[in-house]
Amino acid sequence: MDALTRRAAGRTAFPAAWGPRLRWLRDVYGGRILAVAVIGYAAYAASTLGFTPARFWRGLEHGGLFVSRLFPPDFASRWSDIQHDMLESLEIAILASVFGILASLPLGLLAARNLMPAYVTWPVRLLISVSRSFHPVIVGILFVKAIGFGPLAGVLTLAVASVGFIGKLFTEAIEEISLKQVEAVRATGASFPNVLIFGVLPQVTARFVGFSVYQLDSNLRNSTILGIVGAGGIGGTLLAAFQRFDYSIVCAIVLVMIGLIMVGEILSEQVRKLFQ
Amino acid sequence: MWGVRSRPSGRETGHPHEPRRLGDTSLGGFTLQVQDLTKCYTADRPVLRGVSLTLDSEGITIVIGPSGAGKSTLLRCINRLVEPTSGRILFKGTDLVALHGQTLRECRRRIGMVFQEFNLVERLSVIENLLSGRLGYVSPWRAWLRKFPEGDIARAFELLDQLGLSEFAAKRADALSGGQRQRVGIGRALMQEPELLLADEPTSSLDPKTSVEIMETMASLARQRHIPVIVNMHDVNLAKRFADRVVGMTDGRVVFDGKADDLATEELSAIYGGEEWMR
Repeated sequence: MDALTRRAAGRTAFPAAWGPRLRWLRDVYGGRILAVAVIGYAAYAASTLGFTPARFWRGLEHGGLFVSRLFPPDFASRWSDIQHDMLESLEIAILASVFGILASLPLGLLAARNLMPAYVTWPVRLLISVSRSFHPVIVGILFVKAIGFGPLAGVLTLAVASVGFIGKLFTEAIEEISLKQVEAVRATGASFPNVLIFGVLPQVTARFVGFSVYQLDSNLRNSTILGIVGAGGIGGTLLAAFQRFDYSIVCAIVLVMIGLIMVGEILSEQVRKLFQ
Repeated sequence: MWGVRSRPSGRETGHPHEPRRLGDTSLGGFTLQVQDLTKCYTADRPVLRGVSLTLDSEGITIVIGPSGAGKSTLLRCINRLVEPTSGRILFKGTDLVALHGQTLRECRRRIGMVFQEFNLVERLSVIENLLSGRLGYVSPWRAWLRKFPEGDIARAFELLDQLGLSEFAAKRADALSGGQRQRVGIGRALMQEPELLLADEPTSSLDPKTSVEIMETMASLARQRHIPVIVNMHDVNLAKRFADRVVGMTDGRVVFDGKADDLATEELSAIYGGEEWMR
């Protein structure tokens, strides 16, 4: 609690009894005690991990050597592999986004507590939060084990991740709409689907488009890593190059990735502007 | 069964503003009979304590009373935006309180409502807001594609013209001023071809001049169409100016029911309490 609120509540003096004294300490020094505890723990954690300045300097030297071996990038010798896997990553991202968004639209609606009864929202909210619980790499390993190597596992992985994120964002967008507008549409005698179409959708469409584009962007990034666990895309090629110490090829792949993601960013900005 | 489809509708005969006689005389000409209505949001604190009210088939009834008297709850109980706790609401002889689902919606679409804060769908155009008054009659598919019947669309443009908003048809509702928005609100309610119009403090968010204009618009359009109107309001002078009948409410009860001219110091003090504020 800050000084002004304390003064407004009429509590400044150190109380006589022990219960109020503890509360007084928490209110007055609580924030400072917490800050000291966090800094202390960080120092302790660094000492147990052997995180010393000497180790840090050795790491920097090694890093400098690594960076010098990255250049110049070698695009030529494995270009057909890079091109093929990059396009595969792109396809994985787009397919996963389409499936994820299509699934999230009804799920987001069913999870909205201002439109649906509790016995509908709870199971759906659970489903959405389970989809969000695991990192895509872990989900990717599960799908690779379940249905085998290849891009299909990647598509399913990112579709699940998309449901976890934009399902939740859609739900929140619907829960934040103005119910006055909905009430007015309801008062015309409109059926529930018509209330959704005229009262709810106009209020959330622009935000839905924004979230979807953001998810496509995020799927594009994540699709480049799934190859590492065998779920298709450029990640596998990248890992192989690392393991062969082909650092100039690593550099080429990384540069292509950066280019692709920048193009994605520019496109998504344009789409968002269109739906403002 | 007795829904709008069975009525001869001006819309289909090509005379959209042909006055219709409403109010079945076999029911004594009453549009609405509220009988002993109570509503408790929390169990021990009733907002409406046994309200009874009978409404003829025409005329403007203005409900006045202090904030928290239950005026808004009364209106919202009539079209069941709020569930009444007990009592009966007979609308043209049908008890609205007993209705559910489809039959409730079929009754609701015959009752228009105008709101204090307009409650337009902000991101839709003015013409879309007007046509949303027809949503009780179109399928979701047609609503999605905005494929309203040609007659409805023609009527919406005509109404927009009467409301003096023709040039705003394609503008988004949130681009309009308060008075213009409330006109759209009135237009939306009238698009329903309602047999009863409810207005919940339609002028409370507007300046005095615009308030009078809005009341004039609403009163004249409703009179043309022979639609009975119930308006909530706390401005006594505005109420006296437009009311055929005034109902005074305080603390969930009706304490005055009569002509605007009969509303003197004594009655006003019974409704609002005290007299100091009148000087």
